[in-house]
Amino acid sequence: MSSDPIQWLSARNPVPRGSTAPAFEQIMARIDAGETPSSRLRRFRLPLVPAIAVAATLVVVAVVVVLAVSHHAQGPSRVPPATRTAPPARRIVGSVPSPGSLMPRGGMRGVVGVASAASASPDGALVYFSQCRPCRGPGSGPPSHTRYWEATTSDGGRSWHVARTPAILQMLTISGADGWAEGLGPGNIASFFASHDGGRTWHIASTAGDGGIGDVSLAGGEVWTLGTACARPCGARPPSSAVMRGPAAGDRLTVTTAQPPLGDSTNVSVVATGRDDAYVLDDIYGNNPKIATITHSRLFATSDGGGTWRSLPSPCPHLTFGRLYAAGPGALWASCQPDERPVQLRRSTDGGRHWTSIPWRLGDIQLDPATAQVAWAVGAGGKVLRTADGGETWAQVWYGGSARSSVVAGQTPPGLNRTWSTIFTAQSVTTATVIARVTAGRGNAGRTNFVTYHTTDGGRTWSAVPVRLPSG
Amino acid sequence: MVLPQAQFEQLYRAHADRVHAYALRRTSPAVADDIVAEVFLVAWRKLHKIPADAELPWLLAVARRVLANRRRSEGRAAALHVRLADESRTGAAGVDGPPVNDAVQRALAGLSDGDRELLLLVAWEGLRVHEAAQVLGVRANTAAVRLHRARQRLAGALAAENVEIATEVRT
Repeated sequence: MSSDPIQWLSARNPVPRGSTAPAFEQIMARIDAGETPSSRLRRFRLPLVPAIAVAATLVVVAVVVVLAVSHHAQGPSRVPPATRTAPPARRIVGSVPSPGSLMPRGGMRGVVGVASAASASPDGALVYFSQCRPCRGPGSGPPSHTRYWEATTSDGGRSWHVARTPAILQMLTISGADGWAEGLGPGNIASFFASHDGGRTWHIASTAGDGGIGDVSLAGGEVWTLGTACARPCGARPPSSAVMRGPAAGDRLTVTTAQPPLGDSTNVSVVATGRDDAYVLDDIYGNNPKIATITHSRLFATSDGGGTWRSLPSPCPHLTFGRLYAAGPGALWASCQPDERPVQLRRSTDGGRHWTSIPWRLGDIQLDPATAQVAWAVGAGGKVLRTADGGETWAQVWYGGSARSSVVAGQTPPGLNRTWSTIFTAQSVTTATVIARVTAGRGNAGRTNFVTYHTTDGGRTWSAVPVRLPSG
Repeated sequence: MVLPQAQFEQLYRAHADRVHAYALRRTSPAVADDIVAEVFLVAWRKLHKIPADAELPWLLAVARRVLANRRRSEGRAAALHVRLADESRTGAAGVDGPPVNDAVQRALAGLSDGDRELLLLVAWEGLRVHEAAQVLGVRANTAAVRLHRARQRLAGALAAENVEIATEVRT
């Protein structure tokens, strides 16, 4: 018998008997940058599915035809279900109806989580998400079964194509025809993926060094990112972080000739502002021998494609979790978040030589600056805000209504029969899409759909489209 | 003299399961594997700086950073391309972790992030107070005071929920 609340809590440990970590060799394969010859370049098509009767736009028809051919060429594998929707869009001025109130009937069963989203054009967007069904906790019977899905639109969210994909991509970045992302390739090894058809098909890109731990940033026809690289022979010493670059239209990333003096952290933000211009913001572990604590961030820049690096004043000199964003020539934004304290925003208009604080009171932030003056942001509660004066004033342009947050990461809050989350992609100074993932019910009994909201006037008016997902 | 590789392997075999369990309690199995890989990448780089008498708290402190960073960076990419914000902060990659009892979630809801983490480090990870203090980067005395406060708040929350903790038998 016990009256100790800690023992009560202990008895409800979701992983009570511990767990088995992956084998040492398996983890070494992940973190050790092995040889990655160009023969590793393998091409596959994500099997977007031709099972569509009606296509609303010529663009979608073209996509379907191309993919139908490619799918056929791969042989008679099972065709996963696909749906598309084209209900009339509702034009909304003023406050928007909540995603929960617009949720269609039915939907995808199980636990659905969104991994990433990207826009290749003002009217285009793609969303990668996973479906876990049945979804089980560790050590409780057979393992969970997870499928990966992709939803695409090319008409500002009026119609969507939803289909299974073999891989799930993250850190998607698309500019015109060329897209880059990170994802898990064969053997669950983190790899870089490239697309040269606007994100319709992806293949694993080759690297000098290995991939998977940093931002992916496109500018001036060049992709910049952070990977790991090991001194030969690999395995003798820990791989270090390395800035890598390559032509966006190509399939190969190489480590830049010089490297900024990066620390031991894996939180490194890399943004490109031009073909030969990039910035790196690096979190630094302090020297306290007892505590593994990140104490500050350092900023470096190159203007010669990584041949030389210079040190700049950090936007987060005494703060951590730095994240850097580029928004045109000389225009940089940064967010910093010390432990258990609110996010702070900084902005520079002279390429990082000087930083000024800008007001932000909405907690956690997903920032999406368009120019030095105009930025979109998603704050606490899924509120979308926009500033047109460099962050001095923020206007709330979209809010889907209150929803409680989960206190334990990865858990649906109790007592809610409908939850929603915001996926936001800004396509220009005035155009943006909010994709709300709405779930009714919980766990394996959950049903999930999307409701998309699109604006072309800086958030003054929105059109809303419910998207019913296949049951899966 | 122990070779760094052997020392690293020893560190992994001694603590990987605990680090993995910590991640599993906070995110999905697939992401938990990633977290373990990233934590031990940092550990390998800082091998000579890991305190011999506090290896696990040191590793969990890194795991806490990596998890928080992972949650923040779900939508990271160049400006104008991607942004993702998950209202319910459903862990990285958006896949749910193992189910947590509703009563636990309600009871923890009223606590601050720091107090909640402290309680869970003691109750779920089985750390002693001074070890939990090392994970959180605070002094042991501070952690003890905070734990006392968090325990009282949890007891209050359970009482408000009419949860009878005295009937619980721990096996």
